[in-house]
Amino acid sequence: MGNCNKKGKPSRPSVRDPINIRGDKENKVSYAKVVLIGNSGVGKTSIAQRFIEGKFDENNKNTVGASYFQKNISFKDGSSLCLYIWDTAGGEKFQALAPLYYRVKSKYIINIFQNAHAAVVCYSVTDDDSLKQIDTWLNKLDEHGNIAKMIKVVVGNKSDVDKSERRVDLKEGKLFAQQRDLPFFETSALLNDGSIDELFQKLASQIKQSFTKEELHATV
Amino acid sequence: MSVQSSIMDRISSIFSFGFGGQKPQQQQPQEITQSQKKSNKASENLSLKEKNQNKNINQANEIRQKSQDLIQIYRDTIQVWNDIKRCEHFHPLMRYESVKKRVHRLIMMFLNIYGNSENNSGVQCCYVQGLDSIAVVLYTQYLNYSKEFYVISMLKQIFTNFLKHFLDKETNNLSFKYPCILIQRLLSYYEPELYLHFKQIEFQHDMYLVCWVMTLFAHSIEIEKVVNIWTELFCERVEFLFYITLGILKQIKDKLLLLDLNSTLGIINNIQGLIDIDNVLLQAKIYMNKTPPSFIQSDFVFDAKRQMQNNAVDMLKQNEYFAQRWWELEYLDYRDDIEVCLVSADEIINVQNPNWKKNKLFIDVREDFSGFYGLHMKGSYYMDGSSEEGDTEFHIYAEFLQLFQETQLETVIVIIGERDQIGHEFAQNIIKETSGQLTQVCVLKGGIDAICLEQPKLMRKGGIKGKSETSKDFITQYERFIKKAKQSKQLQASQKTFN
Repeated sequence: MGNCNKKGKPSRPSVRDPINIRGDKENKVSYAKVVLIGNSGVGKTSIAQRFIEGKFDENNKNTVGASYFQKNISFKDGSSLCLYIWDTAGGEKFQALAPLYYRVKSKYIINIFQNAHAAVVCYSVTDDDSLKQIDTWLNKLDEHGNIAKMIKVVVGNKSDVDKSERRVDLKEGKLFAQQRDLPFFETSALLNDGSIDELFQKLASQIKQSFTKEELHATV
Repeated sequence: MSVQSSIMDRISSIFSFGFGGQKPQQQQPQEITQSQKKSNKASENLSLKEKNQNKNINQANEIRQKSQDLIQIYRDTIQVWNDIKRCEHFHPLMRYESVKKRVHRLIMMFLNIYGNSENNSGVQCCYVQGLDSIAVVLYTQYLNYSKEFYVISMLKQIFTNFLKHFLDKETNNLSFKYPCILIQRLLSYYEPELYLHFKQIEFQHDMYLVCWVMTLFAHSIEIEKVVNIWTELFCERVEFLFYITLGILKQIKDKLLLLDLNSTLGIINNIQGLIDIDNVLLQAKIYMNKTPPSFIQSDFVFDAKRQMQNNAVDMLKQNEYFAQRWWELEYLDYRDDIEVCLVSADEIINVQNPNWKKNKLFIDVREDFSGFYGLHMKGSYYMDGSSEEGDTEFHIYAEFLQLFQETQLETVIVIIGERDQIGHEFAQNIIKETSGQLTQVCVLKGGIDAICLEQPKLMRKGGIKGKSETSKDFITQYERFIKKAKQSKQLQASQKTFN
């Protein structure tokens, strides 16, 4: 009895990423989930791409559904934090799908990553409506979020544009974020001016400060 | 220019309506004076005033509706332009501003004609991201024949035949809950290994399905190949999208099985160059011909919860027809805990066809053996549905089924359950137990009750006189079968080596 499974499925070698969620216990890497949200066309995918790949792709397609990136950030003290960045579709009709992306239901990361540790709420400085919509996005986060400590930042993208094309001033954006007691950044995914690296670097260090190691360690 | 001009088109149409709406207002004083001439009764005046008030309210509502429409058109115009700008990668032509504007204008014309609830086609179309990419692909194709205007009618056809099925009728929002459940079920039926793997790494199907479906693969596959897919797709129904998806997954299965969640997410949205479209389409057709239609529900955005809250359901439950057919009101198809395909009794048991039993194995998994003993379907086997991974019995069941399928290829395994035990858990566990080697497992919708109702002639009582049949007896039967099957397998193998 029980022999017929002898020839069963050969156990497949699992190719794991260099940064494995189930890493060695001594070499624990911290993980944080970050969601990029904001109106359609404000440059969420470009922000993610500039940060991950260090390039600006002029031929960026609009995001239908969601896409996903990850990157390791190292700190001066030698520790590091891996950011899982979820890039979502900003389109109106996709907003009903959004709750799906707020929870990552992974076996490995379910306990802590049920919800995002941080949300980058983006607007475009060329589109004043996208700034107004930030409140809607913040409400959505409150509605679907279950991590009370979630860090939220407001980001005005496309800071490289001419003054003539600008619809939202730096001051205006700053004031908007100040009123809501949120950190503010103005970035450009087009220019390699380090603004986006700075954004994620600061975000990562704030995540590190706000969350305990246990909350960031994804050991089940 | 085109953005403004198409807005102007709509504005002018709305204003023309607006003027039409104002006419009755001018007529009101006349009506009143006429009626006053006829009689000066205060009551009539009152009723007239009420009428006028109602009229005003209606007009206000109409104007409000129209202004909302106008805002929507404005938003769409901006959104479409926003998306068209990002379509440059599709075709070198799309780098030209003038071409972008032309495509934008075509989409806006499509919305102008079919986005209106008063259009003659009966279907109200709307803009949803993905339509831009579809329009660009269509434009570049029709441009070759100088028939760009076909884009408009093609968009309408694509919207009504494909995209519409994924939009909630009330809110117009995307809904991918059922399509994801469906893909998971079809995978468990055809590619159980992949189904188990995705489940293990907790990969969710909406991560790629939304993009594949809403752009009809235009985002994921090169434009020349997408056209091939579309040529096939447009001859088929919307379900064909799922079969193509299955075909793609099957083709990259070996790669996917090696990947963890992160790498899977990376590869699945970047399948360009990994797949052979002709093979995928061939495979999709095979799936289409093989899949029983009752596996797939036609309403993709059905909300079972919303339907359950509906009072009419309680009324229906009291109805004699539905009292017998409990499964029809429980909307099993839309339950996300059921991960195996559900088949209807009249489809799987087609007594008109003398060969209907061929390649089918019916497994009764009702918890209570005495129930099976009392009444069961002719030729069905009993397996204890409550047995689980780790039980010796369960292991024997899995072994039996796997060997059965190995000796009789293409066998469809139909699980018969009952209301309290539908049988999906047993089916899922058995797929897991065989490490995904057992394919084509489905559950009968309505279980034993459905067969009793549809095909009472197929039912029989259990037991041979003088022998007490218990579930243990069945196990000894299996053991005998397995021994035989193994012997025949060995015989086959030795014959092969001999030859």
